[in-house]
Order: sequence, then structure tokens, then C-alpha cells
Amino acid sequence: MSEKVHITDLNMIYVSDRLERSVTALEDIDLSIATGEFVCLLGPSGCGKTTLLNLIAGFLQPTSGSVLVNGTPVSAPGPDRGVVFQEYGIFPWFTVSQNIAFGPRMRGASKREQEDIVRHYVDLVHLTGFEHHYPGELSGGMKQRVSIARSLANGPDILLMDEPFGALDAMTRETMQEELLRIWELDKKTCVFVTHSIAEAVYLADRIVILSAHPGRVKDIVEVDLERLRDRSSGEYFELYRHVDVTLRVEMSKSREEYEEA
Amino acid sequence: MTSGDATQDVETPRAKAATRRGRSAYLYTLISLAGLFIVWQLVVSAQWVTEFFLPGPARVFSLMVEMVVDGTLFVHIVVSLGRVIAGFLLAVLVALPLGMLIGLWRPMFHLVDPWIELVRPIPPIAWIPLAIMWLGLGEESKVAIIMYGAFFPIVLNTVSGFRGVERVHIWAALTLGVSRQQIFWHVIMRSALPRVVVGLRLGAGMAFIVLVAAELILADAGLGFLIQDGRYQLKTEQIMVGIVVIGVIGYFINKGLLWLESKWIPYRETLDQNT
Ligand SMILES: Nc1ncnc2c1ncn2[C@@H]1O[C@H](COP(=O)(O)OP(=O)(O)OP(=O)(O)O)[C@@H](O)[C@H]1O
Ligand SMILES: [Mg+2]
Repeated sequence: MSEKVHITDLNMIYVSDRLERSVTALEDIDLSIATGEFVCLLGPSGCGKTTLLNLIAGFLQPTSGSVLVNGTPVSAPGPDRGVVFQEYGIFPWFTVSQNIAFGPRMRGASKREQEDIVRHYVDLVHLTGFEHHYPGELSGGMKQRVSIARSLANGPDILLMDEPFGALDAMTRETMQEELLRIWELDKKTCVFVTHSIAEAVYLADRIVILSAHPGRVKDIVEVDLERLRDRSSGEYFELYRHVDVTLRVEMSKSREEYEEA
Repeated sequence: MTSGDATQDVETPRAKAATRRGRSAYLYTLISLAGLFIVWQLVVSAQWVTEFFLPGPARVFSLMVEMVVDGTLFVHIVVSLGRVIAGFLLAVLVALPLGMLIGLWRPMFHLVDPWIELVRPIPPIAWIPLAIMWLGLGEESKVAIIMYGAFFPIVLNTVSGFRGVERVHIWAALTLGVSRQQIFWHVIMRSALPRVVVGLRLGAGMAFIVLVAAELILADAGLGFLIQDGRYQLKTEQIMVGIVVIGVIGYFINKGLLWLESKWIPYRETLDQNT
């Protein structure tokens, strides 16, 4: 398998003029993601998951180090990297269909093509019947599905998802995880999926990248070598869950101690 | 965009209830208006006040009919609306581009905002003497006063509309491969639009409110003039005609603009921002 994303010696420091202090969000990140791989970024709140995703997307430039996608340094956002934002980011002035068709429409797709795309992706994320609704008329989980559909409809090479199921209840969440894997199995896009749910990471990922907080570092990388679809009640699943859980707990208590010392 | 959807409107019990609510809202409006006229007429008929101080609705209405028949009311309305429209359009012409510039470009905000905040509290009437000195007693000074009144709601709402464009929407468009120019038209403009339209509606309302003040400047026609003239001639019912007509026209202008707004921005009710 070829390499899709390559991150070396990456540091990200936010400087806040207002607070007259700087926050090291990410420190010494080295990470390589293969083509077609499903990687979960897992870590406590504030550990820099969104920051890392934004760096791959090209919204931010690293303080030092480099992010390569397909071997070229990332300098700006582009349609090869689709993003599902933590806060949805769908356009409230467009209906569900208009949101999904927006990318293709701007690229000059015909009315027919747009209709086909909309029908296909609305069906894929189970929003049939809501095509003409505005985002303000949808639940949080439905907005996240629109956001996923909009990204997919634009045909990205890499899918960057920031807690896309954060607004869902446990049941719907599990269903959506299964749906996402079903969609992913179709063409095996490279996926970087941010979550702070261990169960979700173990269920979805080929590899789980565990980040520590303050500063955000790669604490551990766990390979998940289980057949999909995974049985959430199997012994192996639970074993991995335990392993990740322990690593994360140690990490969180450590960062808390450091925080209290400081 | 897609055909054959599952959300086709059916007359559900809830939809019927909503129609009923709509109808009873009209009924309440009607009762409340009729009530006002009845009380007004009663106060006059019972001779609690003389008709010089408060002419009854019958008398005001008959003068109104008279003025409609001889065409004078129409002239006053047209003259006044002409001034309102001219002042409003001039305000739009300046306030829209300026508001956009201020909203999109920080230095411009810091440059212009202090001036806006400094001048804004000065009421239109305070400018009348200077407007007359600078622009004379003709149409220019009246239109300028109206323009002044309409300017602030438009510019302030336009600024906040453009400042309120969310970063995540621009980012989302960039990851969809949308060009800068397309982002301007389909994201920035669309995002600011609801607020800009609110500004236009409030601006139009303000233009109409300022009208009477503007027509305090020497005028020989217009609804403001009608009121002034009524005062000099001690014709209270003429004052009342002016007041009632201004109220009614203002009401319909606002209703019309609200309707336009709901056509332009059908998703307006789904936004959680207020005003
Ligand atoms: N624009 C910014 N300016 C300054 N500091 C920032 C900025 N964005 C993030 N940070 C800081 O960087 C750190 C990482 O933030 P980030 O949003 O990447 O965390 P996260 O892992 O996505 O958290 P969550 O799970 O809560 O979404 C935090 O300490 C945060 O305070
Ligand atoms: Mg985050």
C-alpha cells in the first residue's frame, strides 16, 4: 500500500495576543497514513485532534515540521481532502439537496448530474424525504449526515471527519458507524476520523492513534487486526478496548498531574 | 431539485389547525381594530371631548373621502412617497457598499465605526437648520434628512451581516474546491443577506418615520405638510387624516417588505439568530 499522508516533526503552537500566552497544541508528531487506511485519532478534549485534522486539511500551517499529502506539502485546502466539521459547517441558506450538490454545481455539473448525485447521496445517508429541508429544520445528527453526504458527493481522495457522530445517541451512533463502514468498503477512501469514544475507535479503525494532552503528542498507536464488521461483544474487541482504555487513562492522569504541577 | 419526495404536503390535522390559527389571528386583528374605532367614536359621541380636540372617526373619514374624490390626498401621498423612495434609495446606494466594506475589511471598520457611532445618536430633526442652510428649502434638504434617517439601520445591519460570515463556511467551500469568486457570491453574500435585508426593511421604515420631520421644512405638498397645514388652519380633522394615512401606508410598507423577505429568504425562520 502506498503512503497517502506523511507527517514529520510537526509542532503547532497557537499564540494568543489577547491572553499574552502561547499554547503548544501539538508536539513532535510523526505519523504516516497509508492509502485506503482508516485511522482514528483518539484523545481527551483539548489534546489537539481538531488541530491535527485542520493541518492535514490545510486550514492551518504548522509552526514547524511538514505535512505531505500524496508526497506534496499541504499549503491550502483543496477538494482532494473532504472535511466533515465538528460543528457541521453546512450552509443554512441551502436546502439539504443544495448543500449536497454545491461542490459539483460550482464545478459546472449539469442539472441532471446534480440530481443524480443528490439522489445517490441522500439515499446513502438515509435522508430521503428531507431533500428540501433547510439545515435549521434538521436535528444535530441529521446535519452531520448532510455534512458527510456533502463531502462524499464532492468525490474527495481523503475524508477527514471531526467527531461526525458526536451529536448522536448511542443507538443511532452504532448504526451510523456501520453505515460509514459500508460506504467506506465501497471504494476504500483514506479516512482520518476524530473521536473521543474508545468503543467507536476500536469498532472503526485499522489503526488508533492515541494522543496525549498538553502538549498533544502521539502517545501510542494501536493496530486493530479484527475482521469487519466487528462483533462488539467479542472477547478480542473487549481486549483491545481495555488496552486502549488503560493507555488513555494513564495518559489523562499524567497530564492532569503535570497540569497541577504547572 | 429532486423529484418525487416523501414530504409532499398533505392536509394533516396539524396543518388544518395551523390554518385555523391563521384565520383566528385575522379575526383578532379585526376585533381589535373595530374596538378602537368604536371607543374613539363613543368618546366623541358622548362629548367627553370636543370635536375640535378630537374629531370622531366619521368626520375624519368623510374628510378623507372628500380628499380622495378631489384627488388632493393622492397628490400628497405621491409627493411624500417620492421623497421617501428617493431618500431611501440614496441611503441604500451609500450604506450597502460602505457596510460591506466595513464588514469585510477590518481597517475600514476601525476607521469608520467611531464616526458612525458618534453621528448616529443625533436625531434627524437636529439637522434641519443645517440642511436648509446647506441645501436650501427645496427637495434636496428633505430628501437628505430622509436619507440620513434610513442610512444607519442599513449600514449597521449590513456591517453585522458581513462580519457574521462564519469561518467554517468559508473553509467548507474551500474543501469543496470552490473558487474565491464563487465563495464571495455563494457563501459570503448568501451568509450576509438575511441581515442586510433586515437592514433594508428597518431603513425603509425609518425613512417613512423621518418623513414628517423632513416636511417640516417649507413644503406645499406631502403628508407631513398636510399635518402642518392642518395645525395652522386649526383643522384638526386634516391633522388626523395625515396621521391615519401615514399609519396605514407605513403598515402596508412593512407588511410588504416582510412578505418580500420571506420570499427572498425562505429559510429565514430556520435561522436561530434574532431580529
Ligand atoms: N484558534 C486557537 N487559538 C488558540 N488556541 C487554540 C486555538 N484552537 C485550539 N487551541 C488550543 O489548542 C488545543 C487543542 O485544541 P483542539 O481544538 O485541537 O482540541 P480537540 O482535541 O479537537 O478537542 P475537542 O475534543 O474538545 O474537540 C487546546 O488547548 C486549545 O485551547
Ligand atoms: Mg475538536
